[in-house]
Amino acid sequence: MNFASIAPEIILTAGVLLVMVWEITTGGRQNLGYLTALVIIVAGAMVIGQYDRVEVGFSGMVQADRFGHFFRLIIYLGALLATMAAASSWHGEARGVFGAEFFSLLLVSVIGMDLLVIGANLIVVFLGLEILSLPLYAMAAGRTQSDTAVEAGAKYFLTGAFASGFLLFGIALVYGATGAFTFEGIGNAVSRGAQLDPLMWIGGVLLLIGFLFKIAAVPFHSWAPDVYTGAPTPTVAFFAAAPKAAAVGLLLRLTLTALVDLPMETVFWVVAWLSMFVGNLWALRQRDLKRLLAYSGIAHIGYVLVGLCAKGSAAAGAVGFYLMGYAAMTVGAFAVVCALETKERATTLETVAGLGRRRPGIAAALTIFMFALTGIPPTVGFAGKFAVFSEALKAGNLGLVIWAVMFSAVSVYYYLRVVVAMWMWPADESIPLPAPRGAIAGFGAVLILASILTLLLGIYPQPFLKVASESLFWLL
Amino acid sequence: MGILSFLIFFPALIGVLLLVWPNDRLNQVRSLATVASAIQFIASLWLWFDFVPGNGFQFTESVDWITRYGIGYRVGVDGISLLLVLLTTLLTIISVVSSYSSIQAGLKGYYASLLFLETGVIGAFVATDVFLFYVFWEAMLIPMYFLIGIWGGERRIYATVKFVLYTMAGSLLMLVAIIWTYQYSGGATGGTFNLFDWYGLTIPTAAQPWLFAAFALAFAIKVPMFPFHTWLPDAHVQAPAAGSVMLAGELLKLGTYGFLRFAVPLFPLGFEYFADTLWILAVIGIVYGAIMTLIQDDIKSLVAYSSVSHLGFVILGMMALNIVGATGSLLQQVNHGISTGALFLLVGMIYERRHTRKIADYGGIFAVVPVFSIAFLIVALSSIGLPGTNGFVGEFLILLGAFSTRPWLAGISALAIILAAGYMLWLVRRVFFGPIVHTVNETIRDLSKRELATLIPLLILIIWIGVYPKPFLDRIGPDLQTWLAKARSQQMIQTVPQNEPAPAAVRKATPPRPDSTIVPPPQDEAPSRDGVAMVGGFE
Repeated sequence: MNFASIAPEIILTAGVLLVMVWEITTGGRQNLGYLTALVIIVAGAMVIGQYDRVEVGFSGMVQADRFGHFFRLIIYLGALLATMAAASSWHGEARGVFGAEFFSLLLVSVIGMDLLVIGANLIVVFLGLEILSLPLYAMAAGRTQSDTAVEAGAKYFLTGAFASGFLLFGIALVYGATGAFTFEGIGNAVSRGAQLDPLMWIGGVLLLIGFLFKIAAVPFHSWAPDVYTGAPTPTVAFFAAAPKAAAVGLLLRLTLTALVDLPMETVFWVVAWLSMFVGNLWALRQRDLKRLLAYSGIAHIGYVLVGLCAKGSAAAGAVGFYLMGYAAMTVGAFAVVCALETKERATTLETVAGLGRRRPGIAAALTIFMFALTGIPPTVGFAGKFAVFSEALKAGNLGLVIWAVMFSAVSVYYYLRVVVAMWMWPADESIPLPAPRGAIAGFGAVLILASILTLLLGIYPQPFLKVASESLFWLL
Repeated sequence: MGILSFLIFFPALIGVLLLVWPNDRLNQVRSLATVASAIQFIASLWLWFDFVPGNGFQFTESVDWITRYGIGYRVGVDGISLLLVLLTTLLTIISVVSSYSSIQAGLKGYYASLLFLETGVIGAFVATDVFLFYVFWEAMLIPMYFLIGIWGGERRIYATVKFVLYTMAGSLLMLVAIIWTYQYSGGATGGTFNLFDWYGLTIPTAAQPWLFAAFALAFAIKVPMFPFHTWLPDAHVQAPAAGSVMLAGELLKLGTYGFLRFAVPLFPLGFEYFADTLWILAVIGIVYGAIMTLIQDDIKSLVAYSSVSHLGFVILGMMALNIVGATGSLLQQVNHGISTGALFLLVGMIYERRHTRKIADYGGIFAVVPVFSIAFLIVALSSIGLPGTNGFVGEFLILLGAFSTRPWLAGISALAIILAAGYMLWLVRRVFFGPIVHTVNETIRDLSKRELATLIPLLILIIWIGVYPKPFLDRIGPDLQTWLAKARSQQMIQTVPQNEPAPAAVRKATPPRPDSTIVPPPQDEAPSRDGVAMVGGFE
């Protein structure tokens, strides 16, 4: 059985129960967010404790190796930041959704993500995907009084079910072609000649499509902007980073072990090309920050897929590093959006107008995130893009990299527009802002932590790159 | 920590300190920024005195930074960057002092931006690691973006977004070229970003034009060369006076410096391939800039357009590929920083008094503000290139060098000097002489002591370089010889027939004298047939 292989997940499960019991017994919702954050930190400490060990458990169903540990930590980072942002928006304004149900669903979803990145068997992967997705549907629809939230939840559920269908169908076809569910078995069958089997081809592509839905890559992206806009912002902050990291981790493991002899980078190539194009161009006309960040997320998945096109463990390291930085900067940006919105009014460019004078600290943090998302040094946005593009060029994808930098130049416009609004537009004093200090300690902590990570990983990326490339090298 | 690291990080440190400075002590912000930039300037003088001409890169430091990609924190100064670093520290303190009265809002952010900008510019000038250079090159956009966007004129947002978009669009393609060269430098062992190793690379002939084009586009936008100049008048006119000084004196220099340090010596064959294009663009820039200058009715945009013309000369001197032209080109970069910087300062001062930059709003103010007028006149004459001022030395050397390579194009450019005299003297006549048509001009204050203090160092330099440029030329000369050898080496090696022994190639490559005969590359090896004409003038 080897429970050590799923020890962090056991802690998270205990956390789910603890959060629910806590609300009932103490009757207070005040500290639920911080309790959840604590659970995630303990699980993270557990992962760090066993970082150098490979734990294979449950007859090889899960394989918690350094690859899995690394991606678990990225998932926890995204989840931790999102939890703290949610915790503080609970303090700031009662929106009626962030009780125990929100935080326990969040933890359940994290367990599903963990299973994705430690699963060594397609059945476990499917279970992981479902455990990940179902709580997210509920969280997206969480604000039950709001029609848009319900609509978002329904949309997310339908497209998600669709994606699960693709995935199951793919698993079935792959099993038909290879007779195996484990990555190792599939990999062996493929190298023995199953790659010539059209069933294997179709099955492999369907598997990928299932996950490309999850990471909102074009042309499987159309749900993302609507769901981002409709769902409660703390939820969006959560599913903008952590599930994407998990799905990309799974894609990496899948293409580097099971499907290693199939030219799946062709799929990634097309999808990357389209994602950068659509994400960046559609973002140009957005005024709502949540929508803008939704398209920006699509564009960034495009950059990540540029790294996936360059098959190999070195590229995997660059992708891992990119995701680490992406989690920090994008959740940070969502935390600001979350703090500025109210029940009636979304966070738009007009909301942040003049923020530089009204709340310099918040504005400075959002500025750092925007420059990082643009990819301007000395932020992690630049270091990550550099690492990914460098590996892609090494693999000979010159055209794709030029395409990517062209659209990075396009993205300057819409990210900088937010900065322009904050520092150069006159403020609209009628728009209420969160209290400068005090009540929102968690929010301040998110901003500080995310800004520090964004700058630190940009200025001194060496140790992080080293960990990423060493962890993901383990795979081969 | 060496002197260069101090020069790079000290302003940034003070900048951060300024940002978190308590709001109830705002009056100390100016003093703090002034003291910091003064310390910075004095520290940079150490470079001037300790620099040994001809010793290549000095004050070098090298620390591993991102070993996984062969990136190091590597800095050093040679004759090419020495004067530009000193110019930067000088212009920064002048900008800080000159902003005392013109900037009243957002002091902390303003002075922090100026200091961050200084960090970025000095870092880019002294970096000898290409990755490090790129980081500073991009990072410096941020403070300039805020300087124009927050403290600028009416159309500041348009100007600043245009500025950032233009520069980013150009430099991202350079990033691809940088990564490509890095991958090429590695082979199996893993590459490096060390510039000195890059100089030793033999980059394939077929790739050089592409790589050069990617680098040149980034630098041409920054210079800015015609037709990439359209962001410049907007940025200059909208920027606050000190921002214009920094932009003209420091940021634009990075474009020409980039050609000298990276694009030309790294990809000499690519340079040769595009030589015709660059010559023609430089000459168009010189003439077009001068003509556009003639028709401006706003003093500041007049000075901005004259920059386009002057920087065309800088490129022209570099294109000549001989020591006279190169020396003139480098000296003219410094001269342009001094003269145009001073002009922007003066325009800022008069704007502060009258709140207009329209030429038509002035006239006959010589009698009202004699000190201001004399200072303006000296600077204007140096900008024209009157003998006895710095501009003369630079332009003369450039034209001398260019004449020996391409007499016709140099001749056309020389005509632009006449135009320059025209627009500057016409400006002086319209602003300072004649009757006072607007009575409000009768009460303009003359320069205060503080304003005079910011101008005097620049005026001294104008005369000093004009009369006795030897200390400057001595410091830049030897390294330019090395540069010329690099810029020509691959062309000459290529001309050596395959069966000739290798040492002969090296011997041929070393003498960088301007009059040495250069044989055009044979037809089957050069990337371009057109490139041959560039060196034809020597025959």
